[in-house]
Amino acid sequence: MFDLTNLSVHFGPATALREASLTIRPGDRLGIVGESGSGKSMLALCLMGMAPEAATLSGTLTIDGRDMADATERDWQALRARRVAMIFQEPMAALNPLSRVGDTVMDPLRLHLGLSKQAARARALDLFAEVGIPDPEARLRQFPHELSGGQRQRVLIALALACDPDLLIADEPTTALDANVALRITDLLVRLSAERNMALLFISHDLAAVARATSDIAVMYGGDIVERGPTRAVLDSPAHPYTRGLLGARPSATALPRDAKGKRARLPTIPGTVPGMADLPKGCRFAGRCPVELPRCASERPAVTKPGPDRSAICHVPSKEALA
Amino acid sequence: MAYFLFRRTLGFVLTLLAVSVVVFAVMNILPGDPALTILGLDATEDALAALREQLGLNDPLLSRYFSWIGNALTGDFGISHSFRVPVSELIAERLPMTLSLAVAGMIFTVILALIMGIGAAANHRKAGDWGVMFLSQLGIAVPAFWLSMLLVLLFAVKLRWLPPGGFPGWSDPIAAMRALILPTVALGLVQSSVLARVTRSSALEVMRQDFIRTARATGFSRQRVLWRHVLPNALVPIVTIVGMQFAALVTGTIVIENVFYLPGLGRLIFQSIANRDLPTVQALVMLFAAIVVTANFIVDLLYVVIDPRLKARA
Repeated sequence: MFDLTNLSVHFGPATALREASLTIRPGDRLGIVGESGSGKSMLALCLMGMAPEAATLSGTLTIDGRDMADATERDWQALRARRVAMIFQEPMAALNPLSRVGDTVMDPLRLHLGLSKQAARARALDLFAEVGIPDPEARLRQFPHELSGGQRQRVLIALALACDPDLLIADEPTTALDANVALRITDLLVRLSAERNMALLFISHDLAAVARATSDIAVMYGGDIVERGPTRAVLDSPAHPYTRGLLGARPSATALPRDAKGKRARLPTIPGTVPGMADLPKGCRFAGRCPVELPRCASERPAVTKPGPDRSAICHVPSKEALA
Repeated sequence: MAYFLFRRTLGFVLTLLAVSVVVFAVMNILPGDPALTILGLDATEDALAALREQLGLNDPLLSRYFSWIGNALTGDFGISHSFRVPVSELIAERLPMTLSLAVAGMIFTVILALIMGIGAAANHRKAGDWGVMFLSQLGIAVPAFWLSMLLVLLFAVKLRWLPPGGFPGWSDPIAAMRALILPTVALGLVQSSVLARVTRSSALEVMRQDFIRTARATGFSRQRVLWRHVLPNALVPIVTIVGMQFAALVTGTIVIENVFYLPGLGRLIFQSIANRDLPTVQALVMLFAAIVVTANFIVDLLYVVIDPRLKARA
């Protein structure tokens, strides 16, 4: 079990993550959505013990009851791959170009699990089959540049699964892939999570992928988890104005309505841009861009409200519809 | 792949041919009469003419080139004017010395540079990194002959740990290796300083890439990530420089062998130039050039061994 309580990450005066609290249990499928710079990747790196050296961490992170505050790099090395594994956004760049993909996947099996070369090879073949790589025998001997993007992402998933982790973090696993390949990878991750009772932390800015992959969702903005709860409930009736903005900015398959002059309406956007880490408002991070902002929003951090069962939002004016 | 090998081999042969033309032309355009050099200023005109005829100096340039290159291909480089023995014998006698020194220098250069360079990259912007950058700057700035003298003064004269010069031959390997230590350090230190910097920057470049993050996320130790993931990917620029440095090391033996009294090709070429021993100089320049071209040829082949993506394109 992974437990974050009020975890903050600072870079000097700048805040990358503010008092994030989360609990991840075996088999959980948690989505994290937010724009670039919202702190979602930082949260993931903290769970891997891979926050940049320049970062200062505060708050607590416990893994199976163990406080990781004084964990050394060596302690983390023992957890990575075996307890928590991660796949990254760019499958094209995330594999060692000089290493056959079979060797890449066999390395942790031999080093961490102490398998013999034959046993590691057999295990790698099983893993390749499990993640849906056709003709695994031949693939083992290939180099990354000989595989497609989707195949490489499957290799990376196989690598992440190698030591049977309790938690798989997928940081934008589908962003660099074609839409139909992305769907299949998303479904693969869901299936693996269910079959192995492995927790999945699915990080994405693609709301449709998150809706498909996860049972719970955390929406991040400016280093805050601004809203969280069951995925369906949050997406059906978002409580936080930022979540509403994200949902409103989603393109849909149906054409947007035309106005009186017959001009097609434009896709709504959230006005303004995400401020830099050092320029975020002290109170609600969304102040300045929020359509329902109150005067106190910029200076006063909102308390946590409970818009529904298992739900929370940090907002002075959470949607009445969601609260009802 | 076969086409790549063919193209590179053809390039290798053509380069050697071009080098031979340049070497021959330069040597034969130089003013000075070999016959006069051999017989001395008191020689009679008849004797000089006879010797010129015997040396083939009266033949047309082109036919002299072809007889030189043809004989050279069979290992016959003519007779040394000053030593009065076949040049090939002189070379056979001294080549092991120079190759031992150059290879030892290369090994020293590469090992020291990789440890320093990777160590600096691993400690980027920390004391270790600054230390390596400072020492390598110093290493680049110090001239080899001056460093040689300092090493001799300290380790041979003052501490008496190592011989100050000379070479006992490989029949006594321990003594031979002891004799090679100071020349190797003097020869390799500048090159390893350069290579350490190349290694450092190349490794830093690789460390920024995504697959290094993947390797760390897979729970590998820092050392393993550095030597198994960073270093192989940093090798292409390193190997390029190593190829050029081998050339510099081979030619560097000229200075080092003279400082340490080592009976190698470097000393031989120095003496031959002083003695205007044309066939010997010509053969040695050709040989040095051939060693350099061969080193570059091997580097070209190594690229493909290192990076499978290049094999696909090759």
